[in-house]
Amino acid sequence: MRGLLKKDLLLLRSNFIGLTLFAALYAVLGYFSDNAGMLMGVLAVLVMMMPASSLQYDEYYHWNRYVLTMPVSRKMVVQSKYLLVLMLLCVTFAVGFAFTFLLSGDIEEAVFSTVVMVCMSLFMTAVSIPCMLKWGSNRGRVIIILLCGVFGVFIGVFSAGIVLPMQLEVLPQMPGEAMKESFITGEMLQALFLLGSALATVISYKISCRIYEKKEF
Amino acid sequence: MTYALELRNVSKHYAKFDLEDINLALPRGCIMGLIGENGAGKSTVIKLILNLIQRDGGEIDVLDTPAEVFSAERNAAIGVVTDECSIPDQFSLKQVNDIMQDIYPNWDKAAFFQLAEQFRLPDKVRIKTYSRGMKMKLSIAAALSHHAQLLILDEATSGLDPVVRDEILDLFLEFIQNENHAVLMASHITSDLEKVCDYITYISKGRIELSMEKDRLLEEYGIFKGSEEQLLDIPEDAIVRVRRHPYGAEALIHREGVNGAFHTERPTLESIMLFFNKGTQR
Repeated sequence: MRGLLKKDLLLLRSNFIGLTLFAALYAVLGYFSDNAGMLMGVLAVLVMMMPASSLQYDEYYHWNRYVLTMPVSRKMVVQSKYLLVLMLLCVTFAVGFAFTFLLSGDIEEAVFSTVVMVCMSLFMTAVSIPCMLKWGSNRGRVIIILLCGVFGVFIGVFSAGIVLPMQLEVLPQMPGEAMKESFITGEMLQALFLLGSALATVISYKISCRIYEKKEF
Repeated sequence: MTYALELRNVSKHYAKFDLEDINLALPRGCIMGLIGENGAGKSTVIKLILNLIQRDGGEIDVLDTPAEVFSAERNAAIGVVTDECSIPDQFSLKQVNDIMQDIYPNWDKAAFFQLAEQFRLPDKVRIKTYSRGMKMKLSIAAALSHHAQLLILDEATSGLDPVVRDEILDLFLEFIQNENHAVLMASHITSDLEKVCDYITYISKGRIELSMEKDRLLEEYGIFKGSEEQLLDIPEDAIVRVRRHPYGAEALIHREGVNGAFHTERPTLESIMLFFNKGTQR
């Protein structure tokens, strides 16, 4: 497993440099505009793009048919991709959390924006990894772009307070002060999202294992 | 006799190609050459052995373990080289070593760098600056650096010049000195196979035409060259395949089936392959 992760991280090194510079630019922009959300968005994209790039490199070099001749099971190959996502999530969102906290000085806001981005990244990778394994990385990338669009619309609608009030009639003015008064607190919602994205990741992993187990190279 | 590799009645079906009734056994201590025209099914057989594709029928044992059952120990004892280097070319030799030693429990760093030196592979640059031949040598070095028992080579010497090919064939012969080792080698360079192989398996259109000891094959068959009339004197059952030319005909025959009055030439693997592929049944 260590060898597989080392190979992925070494291959993605050049991508990391580019995206780190990109993230640094957004950190500066965020600092001057007093908005940490932009950096969080970039970090989420970074986490999503890395497994996609890794799978694309694997296809390009015909790595899969090589690695499977080694003492590496098909399951281990899939596990390595999900572990890569989790490792990246830990690093990028530790940075994102620290930045948001330093900028706002509000730990609740920092936790909230980190949770939202973690959930978003997990949901996106949960959908994109099995798709890329099934249909190839190029089509997988198209799916990521479509997902970004869907999430963009969702977030736009969510922040405008249209969707949730319609779905949860008990919360007519979501998001806002009303949330604090209702029986569903912000913390509960965050925990629900986290739980949902963790569940999606587990299901996605199982599906990926099944796809990869049957895949021919 | 123990076998490093055994395929029994293996089949694989695609929409436009069928691999049918593949039976072969590679004894330990031997090198088997796999020959056949492009698209004959050589790579498909190798992929089936490596469980990269799923077979539709039959059984495959690799180092005494069913091919479809994953065994880290078994895979660690197999060295594979395909027709293109699958090691990402962004890496340097040192990085390849770092990755491989985390993957193979039996990785031999000293052997890897010694082979890299022997193959004159530069260690200060990325693999992307290597020529095709150098990349093949790197793949071969990696396959020989983890104390494998079975080497599976798919066009591993293609793209290499004759001097390097000779050097690598010597390495394979050295490898086979250990009687537990075995090599399966698919190649179009039949002269290489003639040089090192103990067994030859010829696949054509998804079926095995022949699989036998190389020396027996070259002894058993002969090439008769003459006119159409002279061909008529050869017993029907001695003729394997006939090729007709504007200036006469030639036939691949069983030497035992004709008397000594017929002068026959010793065939080469290439000529046998051409007879089976382009010749007709009398």
